[in-house]
Amino acid sequence: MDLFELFSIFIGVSLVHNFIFCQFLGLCPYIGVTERTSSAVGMGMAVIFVMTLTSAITWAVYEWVLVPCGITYLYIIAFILVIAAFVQLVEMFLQKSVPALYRALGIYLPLITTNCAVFGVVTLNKIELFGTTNSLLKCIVQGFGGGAGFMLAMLIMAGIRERLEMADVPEALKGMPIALITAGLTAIAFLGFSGLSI
Amino acid sequence: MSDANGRPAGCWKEFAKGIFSQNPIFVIVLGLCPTLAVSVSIENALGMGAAATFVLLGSNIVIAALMALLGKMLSPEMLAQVKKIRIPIYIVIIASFVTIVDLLMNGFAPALYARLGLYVPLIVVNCIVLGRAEAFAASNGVIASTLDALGMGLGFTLAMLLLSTVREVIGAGKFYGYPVFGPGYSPMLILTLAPGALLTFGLFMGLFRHLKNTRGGNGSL
Amino acid sequence: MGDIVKLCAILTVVCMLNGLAIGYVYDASRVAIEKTAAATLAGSLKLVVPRAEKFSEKKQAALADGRSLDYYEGYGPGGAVAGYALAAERQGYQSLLKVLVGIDPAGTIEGIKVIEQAETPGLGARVDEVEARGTLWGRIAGMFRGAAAEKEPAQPWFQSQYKGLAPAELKLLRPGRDGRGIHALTGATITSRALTDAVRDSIELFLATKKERG
Repeated sequence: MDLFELFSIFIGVSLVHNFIFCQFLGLCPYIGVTERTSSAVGMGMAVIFVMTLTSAITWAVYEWVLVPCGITYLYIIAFILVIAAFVQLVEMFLQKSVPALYRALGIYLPLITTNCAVFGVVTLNKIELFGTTNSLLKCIVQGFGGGAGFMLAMLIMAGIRERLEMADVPEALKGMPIALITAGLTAIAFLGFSGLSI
Repeated sequence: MSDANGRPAGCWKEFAKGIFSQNPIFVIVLGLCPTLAVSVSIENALGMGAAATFVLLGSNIVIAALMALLGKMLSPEMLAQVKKIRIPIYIVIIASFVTIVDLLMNGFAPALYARLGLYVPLIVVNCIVLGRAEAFAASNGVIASTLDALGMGLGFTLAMLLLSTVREVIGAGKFYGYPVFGPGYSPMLILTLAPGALLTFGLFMGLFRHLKNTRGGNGSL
Repeated sequence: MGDIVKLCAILTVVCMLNGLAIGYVYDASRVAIEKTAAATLAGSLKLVVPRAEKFSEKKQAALADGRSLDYYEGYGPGGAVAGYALAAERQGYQSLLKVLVGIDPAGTIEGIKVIEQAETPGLGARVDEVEARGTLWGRIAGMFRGAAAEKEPAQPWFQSQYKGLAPAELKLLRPGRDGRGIHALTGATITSRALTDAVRDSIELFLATKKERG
């Protein structure tokens, strides 16, 4: 297995095709949770965790259940149920056995079920990676990289928004509109990564 | 959104609220991801709008019918139990309709399907669809839910149309694929790229809020 | 306990009904999906090797550098080989470019068609750009005059440049120069070069393999 290839998948999904700035996946939590750096970190960690593991689980479900049964066209239903069930399970597990982590991530977990970024990464896995060699490993790397890029975007945004509160923004642009415009300007910076090839 | 529940309202009102006062994109601010990603061209926006409206319509009707049916068949205690698993039921129904759209588009509109790509399956996590199921279809009749879905779908499509018109005309110098300006026009590329979507949308939201503020509009955004 | 059974029963019924509906739609659309895929391929093949009347199934050639290349054989009237359509691919600026290259038996390009690309809109994506015929206003005016609808869809101008060139002539021209070669897309040199290299390499390797085998 080519370590290089994995690295290039990681860079590709976290920077070049950053979920938030280039693919617009997961914008809702991005706008909603980035008012404080601490909550952005919590959400980011939760997303990394869920994305990495759901990438692996959906791979297993697809390769071991859907493909043998010849019902790959049901993948949308299968994936969304896997994600929803998995998030629920993680939440219950954390609550019982790792209360400290639950307090840190807990409130963000339910939000993740309908996070387009999580569903987006497993769909991307399905379109791009399933069927290639070592696809499980690649999927996990893509899931982790997607989460890492998501967290990076959340951190950048939260840092900017904490300062924006002091700024003199026109009345009509306060809150959401200025957050979107800031995201747009940051996205221009991320355009610099496009075409980066390793 | 809860003010839509339980209050008797005319058919027109159920339909029109999705377009203006409760526009899913500009007012409720749900389902941003496909809106921003797909609004590169008017053609894509219309295709996405149609797909999302179909899913909304189907899921709203089925969920409203199912809930009405269960309400008649089951005892109140049992109904309360069923309400606990309502979200998985909604998700399965929505995912089914998305799969149907996905298959139909792939079969009958392959060019459009290729361009919308990832964002067709992503309708399943579009907050608008689940939001309408939970906030409206679950507690309203089939006809009201149908009108609600049509209005919301139209509002969603119109919002995307607005964004995509600005992005396509300025960013590519075209309207529905036809050049608007002469050959001398140098398009403002950035608007067709990812940042352009965020900038355009942010400015539009600001504009709407400004209009509302200066006209002393009703209610908060 | 009884409640849980009932809940499960309701969920199962909902899922089964959904499954039935989807299965039905799947059967209906699968035929259409296969048909459109076949029609698209046939159209592309016809476009890149216009002289061929019939095409073979997909074949695979083992190349000298160890990789393999998918290609289709085109037969002219009488069943003689009129040309080949090679399925080449290469990494462009930000996406994988997939291109169908049509050549005559001697290796001269008859036409190319980019099958798949996701390059930057407005820059690299212009490989698919079709020269604008008239403007929106002309179109609207035409509608009132009752002008005839679009004739043959125009071919992308960038890709038409390849027609009639031999593989040795496939290189990017310097800006402002004329001659036999390819005019790069403004601001998208990497995409232009990647596409040109993909086309040239696939033809050269394919011809070399064919010569070896006699």
